[in-house]
Amino acid sequence: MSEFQVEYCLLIDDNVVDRFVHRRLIQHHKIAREIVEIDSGKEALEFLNDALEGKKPMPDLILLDLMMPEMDGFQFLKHYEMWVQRSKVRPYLFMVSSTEDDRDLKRARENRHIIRLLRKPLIPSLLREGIDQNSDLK
Amino acid sequence: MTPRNSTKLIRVLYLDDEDNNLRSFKAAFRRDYEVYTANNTEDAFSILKTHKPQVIFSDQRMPVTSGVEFFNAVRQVFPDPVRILITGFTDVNDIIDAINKGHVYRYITKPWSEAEIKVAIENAYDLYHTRKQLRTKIEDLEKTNNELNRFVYSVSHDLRAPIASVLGLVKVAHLDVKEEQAVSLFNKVDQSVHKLDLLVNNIIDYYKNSKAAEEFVEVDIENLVDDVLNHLHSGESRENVHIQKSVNQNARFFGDYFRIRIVLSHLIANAIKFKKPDQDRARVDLKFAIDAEEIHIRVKDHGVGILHEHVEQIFKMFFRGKDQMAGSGLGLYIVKEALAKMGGSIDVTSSPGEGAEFHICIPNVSKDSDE
Repeated sequence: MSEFQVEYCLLIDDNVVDRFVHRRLIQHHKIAREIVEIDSGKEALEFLNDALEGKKPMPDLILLDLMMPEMDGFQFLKHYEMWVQRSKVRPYLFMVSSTEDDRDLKRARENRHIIRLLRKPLIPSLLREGIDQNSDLK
Repeated sequence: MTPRNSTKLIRVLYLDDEDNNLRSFKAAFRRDYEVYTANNTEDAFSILKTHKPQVIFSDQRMPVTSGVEFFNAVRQVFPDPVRILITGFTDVNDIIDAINKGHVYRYITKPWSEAEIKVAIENAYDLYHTRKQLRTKIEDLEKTNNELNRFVYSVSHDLRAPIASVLGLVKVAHLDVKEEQAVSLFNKVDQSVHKLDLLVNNIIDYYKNSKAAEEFVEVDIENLVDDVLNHLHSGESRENVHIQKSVNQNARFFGDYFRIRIVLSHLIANAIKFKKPDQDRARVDLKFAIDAEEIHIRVKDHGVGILHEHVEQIFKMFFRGKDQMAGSGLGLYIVKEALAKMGGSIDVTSSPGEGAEFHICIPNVSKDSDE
């Protein structure tokens, strides 16, 4: 058992402050050994495709922001769906947002790729718990 | 009488197939009103279109179309002008029918007197004017109301994002900085921003409660409680509360899930806010009792309790207890409003120092949904 819960975490968020906060909390609570920050859904998809070809490490945890310009979290997930079919791996994926909109909450609940929607500011124990509860799905 | 600009006369249209009648009408009223006449419906419609009269008179007996038929046609295209029928006594049934169906505002019997027509015109114009004002007012109000709702909603959402960032930064600051003075400052920042966050969240809940349509679904108590705990606002995460739950379910329960969730979130958030200072976590007992008629939920906390003189007031908008801990003064008001929308009720028993027990009752709508 490694001292970290997962190896490699991808933070997808256009807000630099939130990425900083999440990085620091994940580090401190020893949730992931390595953390990569990406500021748009589009670049995240490129990263994931590179990971498939072995050019980038394969993430096993993804924190996805909902409200982002150009491609929001749900739009990203449509592309991600296809990626998952090719990759045959399924990283733990959490949506992270400050939304209070029930339509968002409902969509997040109904999306099979999202383990849980976590409110900002992130509560690390909820992230840890969510990973633990879903480790058998891997 | 409605004050009018004296330079602007009331515009009146008179339709009659007999030119003599038209001439005498015009002669009698052209000094006081802007009078238009027509001896067939086609001309009448073209006058309606170009001159927009506010009051229309029509003879009932005409060769092609009756006055009532004409008014019925006018009403579809020009609903605003007030319609008055001029008729002999022989058409009583037609008139009653026309008035009852709303085609005409009133009728005048032949032969008419000048005074009678004048009163009719003045009254009809008053009605026209009042209706118009009312319609403009309603449109204005609807517009303002929509804008306000949209404003509140987007402001609340756009505010939450930076608030969440600041709260996150404070968390990180607590990890990275241990210097005593700094930590005490961070704590103060944290408290203030939490208060702000709570207020914004309450505004969002208030908005949602006033807007959302009722949606009845089967409520699973386990899921509900879990959802409520996940929804606790940032200052009151589920780590701060210990829930003791008991469920006595004798029937399936159907209700407005979203509003029930709002109610419970606010009550549990309150329990956390008003825990005793020496309590590490708030203790809340949740008791659910469900039968075919209704659900009873008892939310008992073991916190500081409510002062007797406050018990009557806590559900009022913006009421806040004297102490520093009090929040926005919206929480319990939202609870009460949400319950009112569901046809439910709430009461509270408390003595200071012993905690408070809220008792909620919400109708089970399963019977309605089975039909």
